[in-house]
This record gives sequence, C-alpha cells and structure tokens, in this order.
Amino acid sequence: MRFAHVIAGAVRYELAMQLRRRALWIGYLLLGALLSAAFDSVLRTPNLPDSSRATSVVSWAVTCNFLLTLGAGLLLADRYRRDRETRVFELLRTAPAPDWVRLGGKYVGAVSATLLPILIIYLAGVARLILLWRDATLLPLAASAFVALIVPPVFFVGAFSLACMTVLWQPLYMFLFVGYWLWTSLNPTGLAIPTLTSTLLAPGEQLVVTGYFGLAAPYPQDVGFYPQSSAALATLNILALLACAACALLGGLLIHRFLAEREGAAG
Amino acid sequence: MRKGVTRARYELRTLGPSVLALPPLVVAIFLGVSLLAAYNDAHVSQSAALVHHDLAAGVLYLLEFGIPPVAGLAASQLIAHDPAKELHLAVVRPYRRTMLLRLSLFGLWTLLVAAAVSIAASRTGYWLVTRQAPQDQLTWLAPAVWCIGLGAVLALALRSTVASSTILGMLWLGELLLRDYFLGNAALQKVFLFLTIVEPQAAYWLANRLTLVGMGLVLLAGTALLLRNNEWLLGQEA
Repeated sequence: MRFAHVIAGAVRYELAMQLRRRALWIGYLLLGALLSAAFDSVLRTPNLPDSSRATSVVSWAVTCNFLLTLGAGLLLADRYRRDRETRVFELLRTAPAPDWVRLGGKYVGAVSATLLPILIIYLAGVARLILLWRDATLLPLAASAFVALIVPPVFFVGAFSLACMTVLWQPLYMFLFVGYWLWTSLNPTGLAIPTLTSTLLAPGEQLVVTGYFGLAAPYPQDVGFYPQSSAALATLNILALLACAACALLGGLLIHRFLAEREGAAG
Repeated sequence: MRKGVTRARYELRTLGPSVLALPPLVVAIFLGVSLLAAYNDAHVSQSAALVHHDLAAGVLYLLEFGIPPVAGLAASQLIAHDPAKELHLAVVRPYRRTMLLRLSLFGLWTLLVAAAVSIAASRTGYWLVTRQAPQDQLTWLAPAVWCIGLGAVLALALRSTVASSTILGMLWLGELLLRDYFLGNAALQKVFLFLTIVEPQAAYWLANRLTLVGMGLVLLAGTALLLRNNEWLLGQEA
C-alpha cells in the first residue's frame, strides 16, 4: 500500500503522544481505584445473586465498558483540536501524505493508546476473580469479553470524538457526549422515553452480552438490559457500531477538508 | 463602585455567550425530556398524578444531576483557557483576580439559573424536596459548588481541561453506577452528589450537603492558590 508507512508513522506518533499524557493515567487511576474498590465490595457481599463465574467475568467487562469507555470518549475529544491549537495543520497540509491518512493514523493510534489503561484496569478485576476462585480457565473468556464488549465501543466513541470536534466547541461536545452516554445506557423497562439500550446501535452492546455470552437478567427489573439475541445479532451489533464509526470518520474528514479549503481561500 | 460594574460587564463579555448559555441549555434539555415523558405518560396511563410526578422529578434531576456537573465542565474550561494568558500575566492587575472574578461571575450566573428554576418549581407545586426552606436549596447548591470547585482545581492542577472534564464526567455517571457502594460506605455517603434523588429521607442528608459545600470551598481555595503560580500556569499538556 502506497501510504502504509505514513499511516504506521502517524499511528506510532499518536500512540506515543497519547500514552505520555498524564491526564490519561491520572484520570484512569482515580476511576480505576474507585471502580476496583466497588467491585471488591460487591464480591464480598454475602447476599450476592447466584451467578456463575463466567457471568461475573462478563459483568465486569460490561461495567468497565459503561464507565471507562465514557472516559475514553472524553479523553479523545481534544486530539483533533490540538493540531489546530498548536498550528501544525498548515504545516501538515504541505506534506505529500493526504489528510485521510493522517486522520486515520491519528484515530487508530490515539484510540489504541486509550485502550491500554482500560485493559490494565480490566485485567486487575479479572485477576481478582481468578485469584478468588483459583481458576485460570477464565482467561480466554476474559480476553474474548474484552475484545467483543470493550474494544468496539471504544473505537465507536473515539471516531465521534474526532469527527464531532471538527465543528463543536469542546465543553459542549463533552456535555452532549455524557448526556448521550447516559441516555443510551438507560434501563428501557417501564421507561417512558425511547432509548438506544438493547438495540443494534447501543454501545453498551446488550445484544452481544446475551448473544455471545448468554447472560440472563439477575433481577426482574433489569430484564430490559438482557434482550433476546443470537450470535448473528451480536455480530451485527458490533458491525453496526464499527460502520457508524467509519461514517463518523468520513463525515469528519469531509468537514475537515471543507474547513481547510475555506481557510485557504480566506488566507 | 462604577469601575467594578464596568469591569464585571467586561468580564461577562469575555466569558462569552457560549459559556453563559450552558446552564440555560441544560435547563432546556432536561425540561424538554421531562415534558416528553409527561406527554407519553398522559397518553399511556392517563394519570394526572403520574404526569405531575414525572415533571417534578424532571426538575429535581435537572437541579441536582444536570446543572452541577455541567457547571463544573464550564468552570474547568474558563479557568484554564485564556488566549491572552501571557499578556494578562504581564499587566498590573493580578491574573488570579481576573480569573477568580470570571469564575465568580459564572458561578453566580449558574446559581441564579438554578435558584430561578427551584423557586418557580416550588411556587407551582413541582418541588419534590421535603426539607425545610432554605435548607432545601442545598439540594442544588451543594453539588454545584463542589463540581465548580473540582472542575476548576483539576483543570489547573493537571494543566488540562480535558483531563479535568474526563474525571468529572466519569465521576458524574460513576456515582450513579456505584451508588450502592457510595451509600453503603460511611465516608463516601457524605460526598454522594445525588442524594436527594436516590435517598431523599437519608438521616445524613444535611451532613452530606454541608460536607459537599465545605469541600467545594476548599477546592475553590486550592484554585486560588494554583492561580498564584505563574510558571505553572504557562505550561500546558500536549
């Protein structure tokens, strides 16, 4: 591929830059400690609902997805804007590599780096479960739960954080994103307003939880979070999220080009 | 006196309509969603009591859950982002005073919006809080002061608006997700932001509110201290 080396370079650079951000580690350290303490207290609860070991691993992945993916979306919100603030846009525009290569490299590199602290927090919880039951056979399930339940939503929100920031003011985007995240995570049981929960467009991936991992509602009031599903529907849920991410990136690229042309004309 | 008013007007213009529009925007969004829910209830259950309760709950969610974190996000943005920071640091008037004036003006505006909503709700019978006045106003005042303080101090301490907003955002929804953990822990229940929504009759409600106000004031004092350090203010995260 003609631009493979440029993409690889952009990915490497963005990955390193995101990994060196103190904000990434401090933010996740604080929330990871809180989440792990809460998880630990749940495991110590004497009247815990009767759930299998596999269910506990998948539930931990779902919890990490709810809270840590939200953080990923927020942390990625300044990656596009940064290039504008540091005024490297004009410089990069003179380079022979096209803009889609740079945007793609930025997306893959920054999102992959953001996945690392999430993976560490997730593995800490999995290690806690493995030590509790002295059962290392849970590792393959934990790995597949991470790949199916956490990786696609992080790439999904990452694409929107890059694309929306081409036009939106940062605090407004952050507020709208947190509001969206809350809305798309509402329990649909008995809810008056419509929500994306348990649909193909849900980043909470409820269809994957039931379709791939076969979980059932532990409490009657949670039945809305556990829709009827199949492996095909679960796969479709993941593909729909990735397709939305691709559309968002494409939209972001077109807006970026439009703005660049307008700025060029103005200059 | 006149000079002070002119100065305040100037700083309000510097804040800009985008920052000042955030609290009213939250009000519009929450009331819009509450009206939609009430409309749905009116058609599905046709129970006037349920419609009334939905609208009143919407107001409570707006005041305790909606406005405070958004005020925190805006505070972190305005305290750390001044395009002419270097210039400000070189003039006679201390930068700290300018930024604290801006933060105070924004805080005052947020509190005015929240107070107007709560007064309108209590006058029209949509006020669910059963605490005595004026103690009931701590429902929104305590989390608002806490979030503004945390947003501002984190933006300066971490030298990153995004980091501050991320921690605030994750705490916002994290407290909802981990509410049983917070309420079951004697120390954490004192800093639970949404106590009136989740546990309105809790015996420690007042202690929780006063703790949040106290912590908020300490965080604001930390913000003032960090604003004194010019070298620290000039560096920013990549």
